[in-house]
Amino acid sequence: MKYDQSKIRNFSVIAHIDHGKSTLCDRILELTKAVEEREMKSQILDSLDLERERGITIKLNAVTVNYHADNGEDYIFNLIDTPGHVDFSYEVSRSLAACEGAILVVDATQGVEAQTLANVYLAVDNDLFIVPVINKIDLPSASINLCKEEIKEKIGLDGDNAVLVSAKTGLNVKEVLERIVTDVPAPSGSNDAPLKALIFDSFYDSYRGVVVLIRIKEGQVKVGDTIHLMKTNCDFLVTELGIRTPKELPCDTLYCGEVGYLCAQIKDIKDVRVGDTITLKDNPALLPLPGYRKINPMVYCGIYPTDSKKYEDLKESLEKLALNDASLRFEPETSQALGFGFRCGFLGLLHMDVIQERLEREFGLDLILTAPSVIYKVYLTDGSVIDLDNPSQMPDPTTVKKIEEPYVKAKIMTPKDYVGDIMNLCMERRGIYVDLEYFDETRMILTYDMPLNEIIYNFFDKLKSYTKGYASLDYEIDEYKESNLTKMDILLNGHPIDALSSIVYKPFAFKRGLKIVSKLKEVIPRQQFEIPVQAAINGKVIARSDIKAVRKDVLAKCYGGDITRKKKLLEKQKEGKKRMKSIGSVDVPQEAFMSILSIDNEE
Amino acid sequence: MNLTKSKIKKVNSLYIHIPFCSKICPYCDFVKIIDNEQFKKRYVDEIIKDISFLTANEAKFLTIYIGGGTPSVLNNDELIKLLSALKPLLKDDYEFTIEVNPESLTVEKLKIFKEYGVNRISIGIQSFNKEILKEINRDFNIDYFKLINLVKKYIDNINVDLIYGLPSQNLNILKEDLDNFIKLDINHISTYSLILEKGTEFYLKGVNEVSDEISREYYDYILNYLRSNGFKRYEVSNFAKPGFESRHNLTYRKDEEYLAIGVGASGYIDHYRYKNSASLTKYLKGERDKELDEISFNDDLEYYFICNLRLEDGFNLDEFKNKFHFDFLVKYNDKINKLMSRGLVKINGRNFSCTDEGIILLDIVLRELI
Repeated sequence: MKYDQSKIRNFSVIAHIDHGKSTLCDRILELTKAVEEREMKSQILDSLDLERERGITIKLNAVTVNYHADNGEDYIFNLIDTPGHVDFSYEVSRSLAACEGAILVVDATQGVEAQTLANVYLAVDNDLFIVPVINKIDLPSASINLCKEEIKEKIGLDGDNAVLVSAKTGLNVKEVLERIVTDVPAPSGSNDAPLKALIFDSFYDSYRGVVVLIRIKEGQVKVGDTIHLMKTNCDFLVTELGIRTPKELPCDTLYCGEVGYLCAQIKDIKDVRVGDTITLKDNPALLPLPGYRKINPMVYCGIYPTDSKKYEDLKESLEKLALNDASLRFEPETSQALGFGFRCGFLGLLHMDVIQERLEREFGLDLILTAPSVIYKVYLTDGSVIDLDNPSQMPDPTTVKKIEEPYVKAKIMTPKDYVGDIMNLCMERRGIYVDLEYFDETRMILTYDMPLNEIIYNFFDKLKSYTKGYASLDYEIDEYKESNLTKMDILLNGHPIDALSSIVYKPFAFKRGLKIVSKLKEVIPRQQFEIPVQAAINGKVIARSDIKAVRKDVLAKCYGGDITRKKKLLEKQKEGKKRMKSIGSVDVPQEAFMSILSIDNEE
Repeated sequence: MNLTKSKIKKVNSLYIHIPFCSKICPYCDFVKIIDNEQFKKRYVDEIIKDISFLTANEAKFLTIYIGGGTPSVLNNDELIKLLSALKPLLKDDYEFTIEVNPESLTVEKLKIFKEYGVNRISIGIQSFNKEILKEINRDFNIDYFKLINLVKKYIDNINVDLIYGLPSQNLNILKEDLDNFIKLDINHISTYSLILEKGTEFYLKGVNEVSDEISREYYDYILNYLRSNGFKRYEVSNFAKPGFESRHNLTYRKDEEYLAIGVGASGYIDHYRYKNSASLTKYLKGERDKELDEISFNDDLEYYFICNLRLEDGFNLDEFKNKFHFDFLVKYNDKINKLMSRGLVKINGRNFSCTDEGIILLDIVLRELI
């Protein structure tokens, strides 16, 4: 098709989990014949198994399709998918920045969900034109009018203007495509200006190096051009350009307004940062595109193989994952309790979860993860400063002048009925109140400065359960602040277990110590000897709980000739034991290392 | 599983399951059904068919065990039919056991047992305590001393069952029970700690097992008491005076082959462990469904540990080598050292076995070895 900027429509789809985003995307691809029906795998865009299973999108994806509209003209649609979790909100904002419009999918049986709002606002912030779509209208429990009202009240869009569809049956999906043609503006920008291409995703290909997904905001790029990445300050020679339909279709030039991929023999994915601007070396743009942020891992934890012989396997697996994931960091580390492993950095807890699951599932590894930690700044009396991402490496307290921890600015949007509960929760989590404002008649926005550490310990889950799922949380990393912190050690059978150490807020230490030891008592199976579990600060025990010894572990019954059942039971128990780490003479299960996460702050 | 004559002839033990009971005990999870005249007669006829198959294959056994259920609920004619079919299958120097319950045992039945070669009897007394007997639905007002004296006139190799760990029990009741069991002057005692099994009345009622501390306290008491009265604990829950160990029970424990007839009964022959279908209807129709489990080398090894380490004497290292063709001490060196340092196992001459502590924590030992 000939290039015509006025016939390009770039859009993404915003939806709450399970509201039918992937199904709608599949229908769009079918209608535009991008994918033959026989090739249709359900939910084409979610290419990782894990994504398909969890129903969330982790990696972005973009597809270019042709659409012959009712007005007789042919259009090029670029459908850019977005990930769906707060850990990846920056990526979402960049992929939205690559679009002029967005389809908002609302489940007719569920209405507008709180979590959708954050992304809708991101879209509005990026000046996107929003096409509301009410999905699942074929279900008997659909309440369309209610949805329309919610769209008007909660989002401020004209609900009567929403397209009523069933992505499952395909009903009215064509109408959505027509609305994209008529409502979403064509891209602006000039083909003759110096090149400005926005990087919104990338992945690694073992033959071509990093494949960069870009949206041309200004100018054009050709195969053979030398490009300059403005933030990482690197130059590369373009070897291949093309669009994804979703099959790759190479071309010579990408023009202003287009979305496509670019290869330039880039070896290291860390040179390619989402949000960076690509320009030409010879005719560079003066300023990069706005909105770039360097994203750094926020949460660190130790990852160890249960079987120490699998260290090399773990290393190779992490290397493979990191090829495709610029935000995953890992460094070798050694723990007395767990042996050789890696300290890994993640964007957030979901990111950590996903990496753990991929390591276990795709690479068949049995892992032990230590509780996640933020990075502390430890100021020593000799004037030096340490970035501490592993609590067990806290220097001797006599050498420490002060400790700072990262704070976030947390914005919580909630129906006003829950404001009191949330304020209590934030206080318990050492939040500093900043602001409370009305968003509309029913909802308020609470702003708190809060230690990131308190957010990663279950805060999001708590918030959801306090507000029946209605509150949404958005946070931005703010600044480091001095806090009254100390290292808490956990001793099993009298020996400190480095992998169980954590940094705690001193005034909370006693309470937290008590909870951790009782939690450990619960999760560590009883063994042949009594095991004291202690929490200690600077060598002083502050809490203790004893795991009683097993006194009897045999079937004292005459069960005749049927021992098959007994054997199966023993084998099952044996399997469970294999997933434990033997520390000294104590078998410690995986979950013990995460127990700090699952203790509740109140009660 | 292809049973040839030569394979059958090699097996030394036979178990026969009689699933009928006059009352159902609230803790029992064996295959059983309330006594029913019509079913009993047909059941015995089906059993006889299976026995005939063995007879035709020239099977001969050193031990036969008729268990249940309650075999003594069969009437005199049925018993004669069953026992007379079995008697020709006995080798010289045999052990032939039948389980009975006090309430269904009569002098006539004892005479029949003796006539057809039964030389060991196992009596489900469970307890002398009225409360406990009521709790387990076995409240029969029977004078056990008279009963045992009567039995002894016909068969002197007697086992009695003792249950412990019931909700209404305490250490004093257990002590009284043990005193009474000793006074019976018998030579074998089987002890059962109450285990809650799915589908039993106790399970449905939400009865709890006692804690393992209490269970251990009871067990230790039983062990010390019976030892001081001349009994040897030759297996986790079986106690005997010297020479009166149940040879049939030892077949199981030594991981040797045995055949099984009747609903829900389990057998082991020619690298297969099998379990007969628990359906009485099918059995009476002549259907003989079995769950089969082929035993690999590794399975065999695991079963060997599971069975033999229940025995106080464990297993002989040379016998082990003969059976598995490798040296246990060499291959399991690390694990043995670990278990030994924790005081759970010992080597005595050429025997490897659990210590007293190891036997009561046997599953810890097994999880290490298997």
